[in-house]
Amino acid sequence: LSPDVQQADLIIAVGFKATELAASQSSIPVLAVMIPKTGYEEALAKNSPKNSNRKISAIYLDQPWDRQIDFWRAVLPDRLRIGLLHSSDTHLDVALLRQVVAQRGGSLAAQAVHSSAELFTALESVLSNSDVLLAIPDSSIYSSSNIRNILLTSYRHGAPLIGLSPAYVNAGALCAIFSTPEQLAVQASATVISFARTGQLPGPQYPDTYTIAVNQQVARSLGVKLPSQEAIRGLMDTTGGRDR
Amino acid sequence: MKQYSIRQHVALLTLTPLLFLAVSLETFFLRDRFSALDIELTERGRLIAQQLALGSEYGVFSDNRIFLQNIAQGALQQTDVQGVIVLDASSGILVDAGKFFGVQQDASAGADAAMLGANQTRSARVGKLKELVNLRMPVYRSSEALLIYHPIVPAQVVLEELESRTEIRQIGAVIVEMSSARTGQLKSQMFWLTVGSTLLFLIFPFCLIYLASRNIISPIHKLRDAMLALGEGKLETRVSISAHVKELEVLAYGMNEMAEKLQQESVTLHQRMEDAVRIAALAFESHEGMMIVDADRLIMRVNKAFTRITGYTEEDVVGQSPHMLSSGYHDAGFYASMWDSINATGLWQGEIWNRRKTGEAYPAWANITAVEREGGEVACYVASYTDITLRKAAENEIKDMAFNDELTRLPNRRMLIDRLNQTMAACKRSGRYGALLFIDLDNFKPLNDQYGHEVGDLLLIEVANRLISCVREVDTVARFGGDEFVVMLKELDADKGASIAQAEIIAEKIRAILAEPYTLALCKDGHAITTVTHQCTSSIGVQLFVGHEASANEIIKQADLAMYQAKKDGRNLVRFYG
Repeated sequence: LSPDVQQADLIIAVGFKATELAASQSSIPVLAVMIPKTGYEEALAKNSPKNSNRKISAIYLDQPWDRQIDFWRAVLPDRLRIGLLHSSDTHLDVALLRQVVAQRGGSLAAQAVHSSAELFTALESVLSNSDVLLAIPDSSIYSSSNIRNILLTSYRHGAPLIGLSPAYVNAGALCAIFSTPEQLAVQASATVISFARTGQLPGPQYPDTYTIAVNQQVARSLGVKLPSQEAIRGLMDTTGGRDR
Repeated sequence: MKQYSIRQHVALLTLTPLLFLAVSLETFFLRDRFSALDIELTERGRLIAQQLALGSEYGVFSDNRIFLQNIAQGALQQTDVQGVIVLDASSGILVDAGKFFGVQQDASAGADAAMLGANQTRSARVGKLKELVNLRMPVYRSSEALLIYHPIVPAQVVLEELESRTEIRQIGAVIVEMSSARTGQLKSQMFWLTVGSTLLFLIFPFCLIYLASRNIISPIHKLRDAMLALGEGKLETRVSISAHVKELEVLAYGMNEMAEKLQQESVTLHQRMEDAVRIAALAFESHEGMMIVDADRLIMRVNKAFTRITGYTEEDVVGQSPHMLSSGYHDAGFYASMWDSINATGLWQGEIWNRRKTGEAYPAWANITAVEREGGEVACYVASYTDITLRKAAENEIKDMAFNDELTRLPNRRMLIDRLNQTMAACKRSGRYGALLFIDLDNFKPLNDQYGHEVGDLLLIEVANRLISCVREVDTVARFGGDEFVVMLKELDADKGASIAQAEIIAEKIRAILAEPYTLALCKDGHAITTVTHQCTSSIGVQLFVGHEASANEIIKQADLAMYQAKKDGRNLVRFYG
């Protein structure tokens, strides 16, 4: 780290690598942004033994599970079987998730992928038991290289993909719920101001605000009738209002 | 050194650079086009491979063989594509389609053993093919085919701006085999088309050169023909050419001028030659016999006078050796010296005895001249002959008149003296005696007076004949005029007495024979009219000689004195001098 950074009061680390670096190279308080929850926890796990009480927090990139479930219910009320792929080393509480989904009247087919060679088989297996695929921030599965093939396979199975960013939607996902950098920046700046006042960092938090994107073309191709964005938001607010 | 015609030179000079240019351009063009064709084939193959790689991505990802097979078949529809192989990440063959070069096509993948064998060969072959190309060497070119390798990599769809750039993993590869057959055919077509058009292009300048060179060559041929004609002596030859080439026209003008001059000079020369020939012919036909003998000494020509003299016509002698004319009177030495003279001085003249066709020998005055060419080589010999038979006869007659008695044909006094001198010299050498008998008829004058000179002459002739009959051939009987005769005896004996005895015997014999009666026919107008019988004795004086103790005249005088002694003693007697 540069001397300038060493004298700072707070490091805002953008992304996984920056977070990892800041956490390992200094004892300055760190606010990690634009980092998935799993990534943050991974970076944290690496440094936790020596700095258990250090000041470090995050604003996650990914959306809380509840919000995603709400979004699923609002967009695809008829598709109840959710498919989920995850790397074998991803820290994901599949059982909890399955329970949450079940509470909302759906089912979850999850499959761990051990290597990229198994991806297609796993995908086939998951898709044969589901009618919507839910993407998670898992870079070894949802990579630039794989996304096209995943989309094609899901399309072949008639199962739409719920993505994690506008890039997913552009690539062929049916829809995505995410927070834009602007939204995240607003939240981060609020946290910074709070830190400046109190010298305290809040605990890790999910984004406060979100954005919805849909791909009407994919919807038409898959024969899905999508509600308007306003309707979706409305539905989410009514169903998931209690989480807010 | 090999020679070329002008046309060949012109063609060489013009066509060679043209040909060189054409071949160079053609080579450049063809190389350019061929490499362009090769590049085009490669590029197309690469594009097809790229498209195929893109299209195969999902098939490889999903291991969907049917899907890949369809894509491969689609690629095979492309021109020149004859084989497609799709490999997975570990270079395992997912799909191979098409007809690879050197691999049998197994359209209906039968289950029988033979087909299984074929399949094995095919997969082995395909397995080898895939070894030929890889990511680092994506193009393999053989003479018949082109192998193009293209990796299959997942199409990248960026999901997160902050996503770490992980390396792009290759998930497979496609290998496309492009056949060079069509390209080869195109090349071949292009080659022949270019060669054909080049030839067509060359025909034009060739025709142009042909026509242009004809403009030069036909006048040159005319000039050449004219020159040859002039060379053959056809001096009336003129050449007219309508050449566009200035030099040739000048040349033709020059040649015509030359021919004109030659012709004029030829006419003059001919006239002179004719004159010379005419003169020579006239000179040749002189009254002298002329013979021309060539350098090999064979007769070339003779004139009419020759024929008149020898009796041989020109046909008889031409090509023969002059030896045929020889009389045989002369020995080899004579002819050798004759030729020596000709060779040394170029000339010989002298008397020569030749023989006529009739076989008669005759004397001729010959004049032989060697005619030499410039440089001294003998061209021929000219011999002229004058028949000197008549002259010779006249000469002999004159000689005869000088030395012989006209009436009796006996040697006269002069000749006797001459012979006496010779005999005296011979006697001196041999040591043997000779004798001179002086004979005078005793009563000759009365006969002459009674019957005339004709009868007297007859008697004298008879006396001469009787005298000749009495002596040897070596002896001489001479008449001294009137009725005086002298007989000279040669080579009597070495002993004087014996010689006197022999001379006396002969003298007595003469005296006796002369004393016999003479029957003389008196002729008038060629007819015997009267016959006269006459008797006439003789007085004989003898003197012997053996050397030059006395002169011939003295010996004659002494014999004469002895004869007068005989007359004085009573006539019809023989008396020795001294």
